[in-house]
Amino acid sequence: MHSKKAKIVIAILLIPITIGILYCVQRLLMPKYQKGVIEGSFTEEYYRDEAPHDVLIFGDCDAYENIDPIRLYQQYGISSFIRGSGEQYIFQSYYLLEDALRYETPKIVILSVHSLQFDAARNESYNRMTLDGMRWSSSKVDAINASMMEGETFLSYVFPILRYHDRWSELTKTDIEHIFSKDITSHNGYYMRCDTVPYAGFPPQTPLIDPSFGDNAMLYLDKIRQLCEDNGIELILYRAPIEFGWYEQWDANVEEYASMHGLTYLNLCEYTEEMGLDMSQDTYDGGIHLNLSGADKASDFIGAYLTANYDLTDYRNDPEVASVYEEKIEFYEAMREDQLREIEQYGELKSYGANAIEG
Amino acid sequence: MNFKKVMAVALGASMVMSMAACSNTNETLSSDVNVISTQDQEGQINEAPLVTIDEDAAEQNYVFTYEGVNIVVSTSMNDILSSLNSVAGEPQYFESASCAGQGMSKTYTYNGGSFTISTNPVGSDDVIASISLFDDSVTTAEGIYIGSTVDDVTAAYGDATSSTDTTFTYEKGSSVLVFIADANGVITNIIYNAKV
Repeated sequence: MHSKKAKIVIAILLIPITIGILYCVQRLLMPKYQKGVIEGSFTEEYYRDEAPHDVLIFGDCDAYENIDPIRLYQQYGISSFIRGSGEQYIFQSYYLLEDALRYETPKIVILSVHSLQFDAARNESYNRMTLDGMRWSSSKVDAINASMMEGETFLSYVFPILRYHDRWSELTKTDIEHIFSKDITSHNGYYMRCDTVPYAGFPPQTPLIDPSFGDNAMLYLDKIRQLCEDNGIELILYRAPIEFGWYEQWDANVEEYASMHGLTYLNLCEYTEEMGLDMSQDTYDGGIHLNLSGADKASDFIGAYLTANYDLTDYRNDPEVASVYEEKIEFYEAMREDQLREIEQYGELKSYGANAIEG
Repeated sequence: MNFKKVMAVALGASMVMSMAACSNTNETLSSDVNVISTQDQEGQINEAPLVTIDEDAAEQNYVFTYEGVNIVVSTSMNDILSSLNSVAGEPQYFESASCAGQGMSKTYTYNGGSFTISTNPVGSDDVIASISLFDDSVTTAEGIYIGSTVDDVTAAYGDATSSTDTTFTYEKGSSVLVFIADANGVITNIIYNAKV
């Protein structure tokens, strides 16, 4: 009898042990996004932030590489967070906003219009980078369903081991070190780059065949606008001060939409002189993205605009929030110093950027 | 069966499932530094431009020919680069990184801007995503150039697969050839695209 009871107990224990092992293996195999391509970490880093945010920013690299929330805080006392990710599609922005509203209601949402050019997901890797880090909720379920491409399965988002099972042969020490805990890689969602590769011209633009945005993209723009309206949030449509990969006709579309719905379209390409942007110094990849120097100029402009036009809290006067930002600034300065040291020492970044060498 | 054996089999099975349940012979996913490849669960390449490699491309698609070199969308740029450069000269070269390190998109500009070829990365290859003609020094294989008329296009290609007042689109194989005309019916842009 005793032996039979013991067997039942062991059998019952076996189930959680098996699940536990599978969970650990899954954690081990999932990409950690701690070095090199860190953009896959951004989605989940939002949940770890302890400060309230008056401004939430959504979009792809136009958002997370060209606006510096630490600068916005230091110069204007604005607390903001970029919920950005690589090639974030507008339907993902919608569900990330819906998700964020479970935790807080910002006064302002800034939405990068860059993603309006994509009507559907184009790359599974981007889907994973944006969605794997989302906490489970109906928003995540809907985001996955809106994003999945042919060949993807919902189950692989529920059990990512189904997607990443064959990473086992490429595991690095980063996978071991960060199996259960990850370091913060961004600065309130901002991707810092201090190196400089000056603008040296763009090739002729491929002519735009159809200037209109896709129906699905416009549907989700409407949904974002409505969600903001329902929650008393001011929606600002934003374009980074980057000429590459965009068409004047698209600007006209956004202007028309903004005008029709009484929204602000903050097109920073119209203010590059006012910002003092110098693409011989303010970009790290020949004019496609801004470096820290450029992002700070853009952020100064945005901060001044927001302060002049909206009633935002100066969180520098809030001791609790200020102490949270003190830690952020320490991390920010340390990364800036480290990047500048590498540039001085090697002439380029070694530990940062997509091709970073793992130490 | 011995209970210990049952336990060992169950635990072993969980490990095997996790490591190789969906084992296949595809290239492995990359390390954390390079993050993840763009394979989907079926092991198919799933990269941004949605282009496919077509072995019989020249026969099955619209082809832009420059000095005897066939240039076809959805095929490898690397295969024709040296032969094209030998007849057209060194191009102006531009590359831009995709978001989050997902490869380099490249643009080759020839003859001071007469035509450009844009490629997207597919694995280790650069696949031609589009070809744009910008002046009348180059023509399509069917003899249409910037400055031709809509009537010339219709005479050369027949009825368009789809059209608007100013845009005439022809589809063949995995290629899409687009002519854009001004209000006077004069062709101002010619673009070969990969069909999405």
